Amino acid sequence: MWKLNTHRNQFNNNFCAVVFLLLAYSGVVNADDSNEQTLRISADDFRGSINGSAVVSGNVELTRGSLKLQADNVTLQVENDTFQGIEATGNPVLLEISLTTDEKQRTVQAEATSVIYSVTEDQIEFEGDARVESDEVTITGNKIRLDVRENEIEAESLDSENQVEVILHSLDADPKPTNE
Amino acid sequence: MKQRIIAATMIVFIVGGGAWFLSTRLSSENEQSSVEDLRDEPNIRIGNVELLEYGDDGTVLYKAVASTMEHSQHSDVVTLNSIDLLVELEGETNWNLEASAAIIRNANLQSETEERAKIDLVGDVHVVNERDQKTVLSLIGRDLTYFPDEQVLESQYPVTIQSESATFYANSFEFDLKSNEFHLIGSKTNRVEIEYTPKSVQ
Repeated sequence: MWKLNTHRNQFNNNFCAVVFLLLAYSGVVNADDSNEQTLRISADDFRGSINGSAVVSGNVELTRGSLKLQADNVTLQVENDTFQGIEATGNPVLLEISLTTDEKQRTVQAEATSVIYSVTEDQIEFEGDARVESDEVTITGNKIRLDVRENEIEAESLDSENQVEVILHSLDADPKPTNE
Repeated sequence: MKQRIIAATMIVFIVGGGAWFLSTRLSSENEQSSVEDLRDEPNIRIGNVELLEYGDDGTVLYKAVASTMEHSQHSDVVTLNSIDLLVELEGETNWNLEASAAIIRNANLQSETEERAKIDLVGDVHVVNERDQKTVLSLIGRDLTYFPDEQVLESQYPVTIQSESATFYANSFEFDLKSNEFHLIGSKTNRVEIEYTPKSVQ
């Protein structure tokens, strides 16, 4: 049997604090092939322009590369027939993404009442009861921004009652087997 | 003997009269039914047609080019075969609707209470949107209905829409040509599916 020793460090920061965490991630979406860049959406209803702004609603499922998103409503921003980004709302919006480092792949799971994903800026913004979680860290706050290009997470508290909370999970990277 | 002759004569008159009555009645029924049949038959049939429909303000609602046109005055229905329907909008935006046949209903509306004018595009329909002589959108569906006064296109059947970088599938749809707004509707088994592929990787 294998055992993992996990230590958790928890701290709260002050009102309107901003937390920056440098991540060793090298890009959310590997944009080298068309399959990774293709955005696929499945929904009950679509209203709007094919080449412009539109709203999809009803059990919306969205995928782009390793990114998976579930929401009640998604506003699509398309300019000149080029997909720019989305604004999703839900109760809550669920997002999952695989981030690839040089050594291994990490899965990040997140939820919030609103998610804004900018394809052009490579940024994902979570707002309203936001929570971003990976094996290494769990961050909760009013507003969390994942900057994929700069490999940064920025968490922000908008009021004193809902402070940013960061939980670091210390993982024993080289667990040893124990005999039972 | 005399009585027998009188009785025979009366029988002949009765049988003959009955036969005459029945034959005239059947004949009139046949005439009536054939007149009703004829009322549904087209009273005008023209080949190689170019039809222009004008709106109340004098603008051209659409131009239809067809191999044949039939018009039934009784039902106010125009049938066009191998039709190519062209709708020109402002800004040099053209919509081309191609179908094996089209049925124009209620073309000569007399009052506002009557059903609105519509064109049923029968069978497989291919719709192309051209802007500045370049195809920007292509739609493939079947049994579409076009409302020329409102410039609205709709169908209760599955549709595929292709733009330069996106593909859309839906179970049914409604499209406003003037505002360029789509309403795509899915079903439990046939949801709305959208694929955006960036132009750079196509």
